[in-house]
Amino acid sequence: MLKQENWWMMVSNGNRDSKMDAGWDDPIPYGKAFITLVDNPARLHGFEE
Amino acid sequence: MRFPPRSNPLYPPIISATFTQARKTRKAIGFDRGVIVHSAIYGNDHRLLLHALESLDNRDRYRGVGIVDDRVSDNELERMHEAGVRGARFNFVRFLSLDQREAEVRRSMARLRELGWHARLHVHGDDLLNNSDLLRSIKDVPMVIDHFGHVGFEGGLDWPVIR
Repeated sequence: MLKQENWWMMVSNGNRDSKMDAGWDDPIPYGKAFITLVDNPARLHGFEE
Repeated sequence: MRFPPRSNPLYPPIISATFTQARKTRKAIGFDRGVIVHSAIYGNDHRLLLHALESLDNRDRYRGVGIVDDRVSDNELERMHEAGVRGARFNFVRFLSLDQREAEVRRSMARLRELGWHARLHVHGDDLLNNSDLLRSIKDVPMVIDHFGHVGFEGGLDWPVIR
């Protein structure tokens, strides 16, 4: 889906879905994979309070 | 309660956290713009979202994301657009019993297209795969997957929903 021009992803709340007790960096490989997937990394964005 | 959630909400509203406080926090960290995402606990009742957006002195600094289904009238959509709403969220999360009906989703997407809005998709892992035919077929509405698609970070990069 992210290969389609009209698709974007909010790379946020990784800490909430993390399986780690601290650090919460297990989403990093997924974020990197998504960055390599899309032709324009601007289609990935994230921030939420 | 001035703006009560719908009956049996998925979680209680956080009454102690106000929009005024949120704006102060954003200002303190250097943000002067923001997007208010309407919570699912209010369903398609947008009174709280509209109250927040319409009470702003400078409406150009905030935008909103609502929930659009067949029960939202055209007049309400126009008011939402005027207040600054530019998107609608769709919940495909099965475990929350918020499955969307395909025909209604297509009708709502058509209304978003007319307004120039985007769609935000709340999905949980395989929910994206289970609705992929419908979602892939929508080519002319910007589609945003919320929160990594809640993929869970345990299935690995070869997990079908990741691939």
